[in-house]
Order: sequence, then C-alpha cells, then structure tokens
Amino acid sequence: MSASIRDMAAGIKKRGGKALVPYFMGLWPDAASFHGLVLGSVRAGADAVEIGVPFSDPVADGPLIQAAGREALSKGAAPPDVFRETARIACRTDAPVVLMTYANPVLRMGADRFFAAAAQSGASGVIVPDAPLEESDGLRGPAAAAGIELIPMICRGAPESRIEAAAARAGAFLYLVALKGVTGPREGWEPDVAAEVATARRFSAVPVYAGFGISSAGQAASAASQADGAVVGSALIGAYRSGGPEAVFGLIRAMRRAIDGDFQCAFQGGEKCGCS
Amino acid sequence: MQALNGLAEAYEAARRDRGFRRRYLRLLAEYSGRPTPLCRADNLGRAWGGSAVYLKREDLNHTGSHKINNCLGQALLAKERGRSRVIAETGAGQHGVAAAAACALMGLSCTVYMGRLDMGRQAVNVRKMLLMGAEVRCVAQGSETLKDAINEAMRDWAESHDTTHYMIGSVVGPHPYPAMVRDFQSVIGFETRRQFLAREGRLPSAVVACVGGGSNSMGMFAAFLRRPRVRLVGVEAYGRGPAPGDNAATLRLGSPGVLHGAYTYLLHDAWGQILETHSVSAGLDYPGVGPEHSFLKDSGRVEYACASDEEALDAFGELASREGIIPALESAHALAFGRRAALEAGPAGAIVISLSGRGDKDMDIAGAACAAGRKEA
Repeated sequence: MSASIRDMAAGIKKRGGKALVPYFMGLWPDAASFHGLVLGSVRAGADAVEIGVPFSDPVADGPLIQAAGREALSKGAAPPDVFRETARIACRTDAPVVLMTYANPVLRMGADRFFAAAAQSGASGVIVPDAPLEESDGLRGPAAAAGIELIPMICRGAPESRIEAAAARAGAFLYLVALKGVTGPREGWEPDVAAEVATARRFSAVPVYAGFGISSAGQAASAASQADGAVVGSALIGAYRSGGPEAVFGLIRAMRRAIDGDFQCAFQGGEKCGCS
Repeated sequence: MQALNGLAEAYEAARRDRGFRRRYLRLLAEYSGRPTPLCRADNLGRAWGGSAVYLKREDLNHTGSHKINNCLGQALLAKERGRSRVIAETGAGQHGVAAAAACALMGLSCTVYMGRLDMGRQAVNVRKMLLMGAEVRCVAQGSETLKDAINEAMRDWAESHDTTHYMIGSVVGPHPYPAMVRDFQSVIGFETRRQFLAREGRLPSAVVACVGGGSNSMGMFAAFLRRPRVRLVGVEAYGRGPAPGDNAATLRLGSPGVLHGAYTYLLHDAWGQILETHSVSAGLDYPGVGPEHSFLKDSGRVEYACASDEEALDAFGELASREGIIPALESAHALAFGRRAALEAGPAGAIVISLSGRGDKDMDIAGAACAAGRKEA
C-alpha cells in the first residue's frame, strides 16, 4: 500500500537522502503499459511517482507531455479512470503517489469529490500548476479534509515573499520549477536553483524538489544536489517513445546512480566527482 | 505570477499617468482615425419596423476592426516598460494584423500564434501580418483555432516574459488582461454615448454587440453599465446548433470553470475537458468568454443571446445590399440580433449595433456559404 508522500519526503530528508520522482501520464500509453511503467520505475529506484490526470489545455506542459495527454484523452481517460488505475497501482507498491492535473478538472468534479476520490485511490498529494498560491485557498480546505497534501509550486526567480508563502503552505514538499517555461528537455542547460532553495530553507524545513527541464542523469544529480529531490517527466515519455519501457527504466537507474553518487561525493569532499 | 503582477502594477501606473493617456489618445486619433462615426442606417431601420438603427463604425478603424484600440495601448505600455518583443494570439487574424501594425509603428518585434485552421480560412490576414514584419507561428494542436493559439502564446510567455510583452487580444486570460483590454476598448462605448446624445438628445434604448472573447462588447457596454434603462445585449455564435462542438455559445450553453487563468463560463464536458467549438466566424470561435461577461450575465445587467451561422450570413448579405457596408462575420452576429430587437421595439426603438470590423477578410467564406446554400436549394 502506498505510503504518504509527507512521511516519505520527511523520512528521506531525515536520513540525508535525495528523492527521485518520475512522472507518468495516467493511462498512457495504455492501461497495462502504464502499470508496468509505474511499478517498474519504482523497482528502478524511484522514491515516489507522480501521475498525470490529463487535461485538454495543459498550458504548463511542453510538447512531450501535451502529446501523451492528448493520446490518453483520445482513448477516453477521464479522472475516474485514472483514480481506478491509481488504486490498482497503489495497492501493489509502498511508493507514495501524487496526482498532477489542472484546475478545471478538479473544479468540474467539485474539489471535495475530486480530493476524496484521489485519497480513495491511494494518492496522498495533488499538484495543480494553474492554481497559483494566490488562488488556491479554495482548494486547500477540501484537500485537507480528504487528507490530501496540496503541493505548492513556485518558479525559479520568485521573490522572497512568494517563496516564503509557498514554503509555509507546503506540507509534503515544495515544488520548485527549475526554469522559466514549460515542461520538457532543454539542451545544454544546467539547473541553478540554489538561491531559491536557500530562501525556502530559511522559512521552512520542508523538502524542496526541483522539476521541469530535467532530462539527463547529470541534470537530475545537479538538481537533487542543490535541492532535496528531482522530478522527471517529459524525458521519460521521450525515452519510452524511442526505446520502450526498458529505456525508461534505464534512464531512471542512471538518474538514481547519479543522484546517490553525487550525494556521497558531496559528503566526501564537497566536489562533484563526475559519477553521472 | 511574477510576470502578471509586474504587468498589473505597470498598467495601474500607466492608467493614472496623464502623459500615457495623452500619448494613447493621440495614437487613436492620428494612427487609427478615431473617433469612428456613429452612422444612422435608415434603410435598415425602414426594413426593420421603423426603429432608429445606428451602427458604431469600428470597421473604419485602421486595420479594419476595433482590435487596434487595444493593440496601440498595449504596444505603448510594452514600449514604455522596455520590452523589445511582443507575442500575440489571433483567431480571425484581426488582432494579429492590429498587433503587427502597432509593433511595426513602435519598432517592436512581433510574433503571432495562429491556429492552422484559422491560417487557412484567413490567409489574407496572414499575408498582411508578414508584410508588416511579424512572424506568424502555425499552431497545429487541438482544434487548431484561437484557444490553441492562446495556449502556445502562454507557453512562450512563461519562458520569455523578462523581455517580451504578451498582447492578449480580448478581455480574457488572467488579471490584469480582462480589465486592461476593457479599458483600452472602452473608447468605443464612451464615443458612442457622446455621439448618440449629441444626435438624438437621449440614450439608445438598446445596445447590441457580438461576443467571442468579448472585447468589442465589453468596451461598448462599459459606458452604459450604469445607465440601467439602456438594454445591453451580447450576441454569441450559435454555429450549427446546440450540440457540443457545433457552436461557441459559451454563456448560453456553458458552465463555470477555469481556462487560461480566468474563472468564467466555459464550454467543457462532464470532466472539465474543454470542448472544440464551431462558428462560421473565426473571431467568435472560443470556448471561454471574458470573466466580466460571466459576471454581467449572472448579475442580469446584460442579456446574452445567440445568432446561428445562417442568421449571421443573412445579416452579412443584408447590410451589404441595404447599406453598402460589408461587415465582418463576427459583427454580422450582432446585426442578426439587432434585427430581432428592432422588430420587437418598433418605431420607438433606438438601437445601436457595434460594427466591430469590416468583412473583406470574410468574402471567401461568405461566398462559399452562399454557393453551398444555392446548391442545397
């Protein structure tokens, strides 16, 4: 049975580890393959998984996740289908499950019903990228009532006051968008989130996970070394398209090794040792 | 959010700045040719039961529609904030053309996102944008229309907002856009009120405007909201009928939700997926609507009606043949309802219809529809 994202995130931080959280689009590419991807990625080293509830107009997502969402929707994947499949996954793994969707599917079902169904499915957190801090108070109560962590997002370059407000509202972890822009791989790009992480840590002990744009083992290690964990989505969809599930698990194993190796090196001498 | 907060502060400061207002009003007068006339259309009036029918001639603006009012304001704001690049979305291409013109005038680089379907049906406007130096990016996703163009422009802006101004073309999207675009378009309503009073010595009995996102109507209504005896009617596109995907009648057939950063009426399915829309006019083909229209519907201050593709095409032909004015198909929706309102009101009626744009861009579509109609008959 899936553990709670809050307990897992706090536990990893307490033992000095770093989290790796892959993202998969719910029911993509089909229900059976989706199960295999999620469970296989946990075996390959993921600490928790993020599952997308597809939305027709995902403005925070780049081409890879957009296409996966479109394909899932074209096969009729509605929130209840994602909840049902999530429940099947959640009873077969200890890894916590976090759902990611947009505001309209939540409001259309009714926030109370949506969060209750999410909790019933075994998920313990929900991310809604188009409900910014200033607008998410209406979701916070229903989420709390259902025992769901509403995971706040802030962007790289956010002013201190917003980072403080987001950190104060974060229970499980604070999702730091590592770049200005939408999800998707970027070539020749190095995550640089140390300043935002330092600011968040001044206000809260909550773990900070960096996501968006992280597609290589080196980028994952870099993000995780600056923050408390890394979230990877588009790159896994790209890997699946080019090499099937084995390519996905291979990338997760490489990220796991790079993150842990880097972390040990940092302990030994404070220098990166190129183990990615 | 930082980008939006920054823009909201800058707009608030500009709004209070007399210098900014003066520069904006001068551009409206010298570049766009304002004030636009309020024309009494007596041939229509006689045919429509003897009402006094007036047309607010936004089609006589430079670039052929009301869109330039907003683009000049936002381009001025972008320039004064030191932004060197502007991005915009466009449906019918009228906003894209106005954005390209305003950017050419002010030396700003301009990128316009446009759905592939719209690029096909509004090819002349694409050529105009290119001629004025804009880059047009084809959006081949979703319904390949306005909604998808907005998605792509928003994704661009998420990455580029330090150097780039996002010039939204309607009263949609996140704050401050609905308020800012309404303010820039309110010149339509305030001119109309002044012109009507000067001509008739009273206020009109009804004011009618089409609603896609709702910028010409919001600008028109802004001057009359506090005049409760003036009947205000927004006209949406009923397309081919009430079935999902066959129309763009958001306020009539939709329900509240969140799209593009606004809580407003939407056309969406039982799970909140946004529906594809249809209208013969590309500019009304949007599954959302400005949030202030949603408020005005719920408060009851404004009535929202519909006109079908067929009614709009009839009105398009009627205005051309009776008055020698070819309206945009968007504006033809307002005319179609205006006819109903005039017939109801009779000789006591004094109706203003917002003629938001001219119809040159729609000649092929209207021609094809007429030919199809003849074949069916």
